Amino acid sequence: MSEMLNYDFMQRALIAAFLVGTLCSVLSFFVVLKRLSFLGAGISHTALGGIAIGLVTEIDPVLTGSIFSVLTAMGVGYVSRAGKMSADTVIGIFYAAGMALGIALISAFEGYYPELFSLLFGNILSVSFRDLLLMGIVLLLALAFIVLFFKELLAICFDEEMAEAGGLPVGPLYMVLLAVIGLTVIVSIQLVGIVLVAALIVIPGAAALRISKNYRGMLALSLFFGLVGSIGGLVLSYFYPVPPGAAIVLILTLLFILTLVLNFFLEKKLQRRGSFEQR
Amino acid sequence: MSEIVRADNLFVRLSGKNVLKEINFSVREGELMGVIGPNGAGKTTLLRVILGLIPISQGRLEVLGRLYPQLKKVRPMIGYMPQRSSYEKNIPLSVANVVSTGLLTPATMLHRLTKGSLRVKEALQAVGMERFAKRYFQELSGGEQQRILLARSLVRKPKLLLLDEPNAGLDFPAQQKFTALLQELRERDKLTIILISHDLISIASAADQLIGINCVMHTHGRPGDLLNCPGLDEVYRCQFDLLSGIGRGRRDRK
Repeated sequence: MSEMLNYDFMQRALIAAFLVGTLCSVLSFFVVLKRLSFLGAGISHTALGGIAIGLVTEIDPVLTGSIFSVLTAMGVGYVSRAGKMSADTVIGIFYAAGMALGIALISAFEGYYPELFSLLFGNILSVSFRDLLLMGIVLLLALAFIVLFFKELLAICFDEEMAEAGGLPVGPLYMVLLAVIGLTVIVSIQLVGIVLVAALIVIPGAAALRISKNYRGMLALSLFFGLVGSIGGLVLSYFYPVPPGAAIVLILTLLFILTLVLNFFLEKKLQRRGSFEQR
Repeated sequence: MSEIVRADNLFVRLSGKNVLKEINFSVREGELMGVIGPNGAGKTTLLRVILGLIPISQGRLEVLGRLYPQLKKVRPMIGYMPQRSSYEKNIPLSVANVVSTGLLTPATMLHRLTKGSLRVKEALQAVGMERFAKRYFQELSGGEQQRILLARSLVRKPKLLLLDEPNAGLDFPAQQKFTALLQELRERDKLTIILISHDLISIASAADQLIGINCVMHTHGRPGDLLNCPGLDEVYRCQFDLLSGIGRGRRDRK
């Protein structure tokens, strides 16, 4: 195990897993409570369009992908809040359009894009210092936003209409939350890739909600699951021939199944206690 | 008694379509006004207009002494309870947490909620749910959750309470308890209430005045007079038999 830490690329990969694991699991709390799970998958797939623009124009694909993802997230928020269409419908359209744009551009500008495979399936072992810096900045921005507006975001998750009636700036807060989710998806693509990134921002929160009725407990458990999944997956991929992205998502899925089983037994126990008290 | 809400010839236009027109009413302090009408009649829109969330296109609207478009300033004095379907039932919050979300305003942003726990306790006491403070919201029954949401809308000690179908989905005893609680709040705290309901019998027994809308305001008056007048047929666009609660002979829409 200690041998693993002797490699520079593994040190960087572990720091990346920690940063992205923390970022995704904290946002997962809001993604699950606000029922935005499909948004993660939508943004990541849409990002392919932005990344392809970067690849063919030789502009940093992370930059073009970020702009694309944030605009997509905010576009989804705007159209769905205007009440013309449901968020799911809008995401479904953006999702396919972004992928189609990416495929069309890459096919039209024939060339060799070695980064493409990494972007689709992730390549945490190729994380550079610059990537770590970017992940750190996004994490700090996201944490600052969440810490400053936690109670308001929680109220919006509970009931947007009541929050708006109380005078809270629901629209701007929701838009910033979506933009932060968009940026999170982009920096997380390096860890697990476009195809699997949605799992990283959905499973930790979903698993935590299964076994916690308290928001503090849910947040702590989401963080725990996110870190166990991301760091555990990386370590697993070091010892076994499994790609890190797939290993991370499989560990998170296993944790989710465990919480389902735990929840089943907890509810049985509560039912038994209830029927005993009735007697 | 002063006027709390007054609407004169109110028109509301959304997406190029008049969703409310020729709305006229006045609610005095301590009164309970019932709003009835079929689905899609504009009842919820009316409440959102009073909150200043939807603009009016014509007419005059005065709420708690402020004229439209300055209604944002009176929002802290209004308690609002939306329809049951709008909130997240599995939220991992305690009852006290849920009630305290009612204290959040632009002024509390970036600040800790001071005196929050006392206000929450008082609001829970007002609805007889103080012993539920530490329970989890998702564990409660539908009727209990409605009482907690009522406490949430009372936590800022409002002068005006807007309730959107608070009885929907509740069984008969829970509905009766809820209606009795509203009467108690009115008498004790002189709260002015505007209540939307599909339960005509229950709303007629609780309200001082009723308005029947279906985009246009068809009826307005005392419940006893209204429920026997042809205006009710106009509101629901069918002949109405209140004793059986069955509408007969649906008319064609105009």
